Amino acid sequence: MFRLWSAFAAIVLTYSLVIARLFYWQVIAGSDLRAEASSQYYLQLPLPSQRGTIVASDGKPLVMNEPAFLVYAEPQTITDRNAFVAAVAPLMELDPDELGKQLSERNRAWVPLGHKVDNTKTNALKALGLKGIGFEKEPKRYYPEASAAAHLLGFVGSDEFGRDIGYFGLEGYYDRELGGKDGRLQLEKDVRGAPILINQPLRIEPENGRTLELWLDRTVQRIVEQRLSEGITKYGAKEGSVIVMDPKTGGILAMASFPSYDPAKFTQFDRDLYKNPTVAASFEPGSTFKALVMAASLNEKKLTPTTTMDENGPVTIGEYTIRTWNSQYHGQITMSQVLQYSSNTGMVYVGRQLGKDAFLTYIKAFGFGTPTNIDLQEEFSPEIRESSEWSEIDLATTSFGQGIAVTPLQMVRAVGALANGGALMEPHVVRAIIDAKGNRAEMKPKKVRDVISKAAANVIAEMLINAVDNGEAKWAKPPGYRIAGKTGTAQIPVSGHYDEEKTIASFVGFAPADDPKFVMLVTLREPTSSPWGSETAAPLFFTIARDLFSYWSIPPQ
Amino acid sequence: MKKFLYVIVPCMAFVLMVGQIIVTNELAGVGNDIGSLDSDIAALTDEHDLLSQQVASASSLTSISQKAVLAGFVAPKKANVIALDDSVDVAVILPGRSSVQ
Repeated sequence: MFRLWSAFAAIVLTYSLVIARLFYWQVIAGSDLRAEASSQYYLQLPLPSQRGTIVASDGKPLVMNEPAFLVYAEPQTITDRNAFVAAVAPLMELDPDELGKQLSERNRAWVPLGHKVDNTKTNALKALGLKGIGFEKEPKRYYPEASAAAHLLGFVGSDEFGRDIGYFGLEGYYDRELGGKDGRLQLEKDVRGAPILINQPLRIEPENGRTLELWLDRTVQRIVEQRLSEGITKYGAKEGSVIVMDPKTGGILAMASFPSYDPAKFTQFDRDLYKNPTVAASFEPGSTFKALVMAASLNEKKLTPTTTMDENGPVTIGEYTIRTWNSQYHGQITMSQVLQYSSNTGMVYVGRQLGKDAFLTYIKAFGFGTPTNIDLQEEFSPEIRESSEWSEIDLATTSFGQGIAVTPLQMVRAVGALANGGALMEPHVVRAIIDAKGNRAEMKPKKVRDVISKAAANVIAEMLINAVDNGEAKWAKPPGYRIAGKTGTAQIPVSGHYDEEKTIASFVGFAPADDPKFVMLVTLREPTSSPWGSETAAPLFFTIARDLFSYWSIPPQ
Repeated sequence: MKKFLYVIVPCMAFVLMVGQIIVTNELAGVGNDIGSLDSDIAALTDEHDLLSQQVASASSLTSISQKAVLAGFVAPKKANVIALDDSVDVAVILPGRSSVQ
């Protein structure tokens, strides 16, 4: 009996081993073996796809391809090596000794002389009429508007295999769509590796990359970049950024930050400049945040614009004392005046009326603490602390925008909800994706949620119009226009405390307030002419707004 | 019958050979034409790419603003908007005339 079972076990074991081995060869190692067999049978030449273009809302290209070439030498066919080196090395800016050495190596079938060489240089090389020099198409990115919208667009570099790959911004986010799919030319080869010419080569055509059509208006982008650059110089700021968004669709009409870089020469710039600060850097919003806290309180019906509070002096919470920004106190003031005077103590009152739980619910509903899902690669979101970690002083300071970190995009989107009847939209840069055959896929505007009611949105809009018309920045406002907005001056946290002198000045607003065409946020980091948003960011906001009114032919209301 | 086959078969073979040569010759010509068309397409595609780049460059706002400055245009110091109230007539029909003056 034992012998019978032993024989049975041996048979089962043997078959199991055979099955396991077959499974290994056919399933686990199958794809590698197929690739190895294919490399033994076929010669393959990749046919690179052409990267898609990126066009502005008027169809004009912001990024396209420029004819360029991979230039290489074929040492076996060069007749006079010294003459070749003497003619080619200066044109290609190569070391003649090094080139001569590479060309004299016996096993080299070809020697690359330059990647993405432009047309002018290629024509000069062709004019030399040299034997043993070859050219293969290798288009490179061209930026008709130079460095405009660099942070938004990103750039194209190379991966570890030398293939084009998009980094940052749209190039990074839409790398697969823009990159397309490489094709190939496949030809059978004999045992010595020589091609067998009897059969026609198998040609798989490359699929060129798709075109991205943006919401971005290149005129608005130019106005914003020009005015921001002038503003940074005028107010002596270290950095600055501006976002202009359509509040009804969430479409980004312009987005600029300085200092910036040139995507065509990105290697010449500091890597720290590659990330887009409007989506990848955070700041404390300061008084601009008051508009959102006030809107939440109005929506909860805890307050009305005419509700009064007694602004009679600093507010003490535990060991902390909260003052107004200019240490002036106005006695009995309405909620409209709280925004108009940008009263910190008034906002402590508003925050208390709202309560911690509702406050946190609204902060999250306005989109803080989570990424906005914008189609830009490097977006991040600062986290919001858990409810249990919020003390009374946290609620008090956050109600006037200190002690909370947000990205500029989160801030402009949240205020965009006030301009859009309370509806929070998902911001987007791309409006449509068009494939090589002309098929167009629209990216429809996406409403995330209703944060506040339409009635509350109308009321807060009127309060913000009053804050602009009668607030600290009223001197800079273009007359006749109804602009809703709020200034902000936030101190910068450094090593656990706030720097006494350095500030981030900002202004957020929308116009025309009754039917908003745009919502815009201007931030200036460490302005030296004045630390206040009302004297730096606000006039810059109004300068840009004036240009936009003129461009869109928006008359005074 | 045998004699007939001796004559007809070589004749047919000859005709077929000539036909084969003609067809091959035609095909060789067609292949040449296809190659020529392919190279024309490639050349035109290259030219199109180059022209597209030149058009984009010439119509860029950077280029247009530079040309505007060279042509003597200057930006207004302050943007002015003139708004007409609905009640203001910008054209009237004069008495005795049928069209807008």
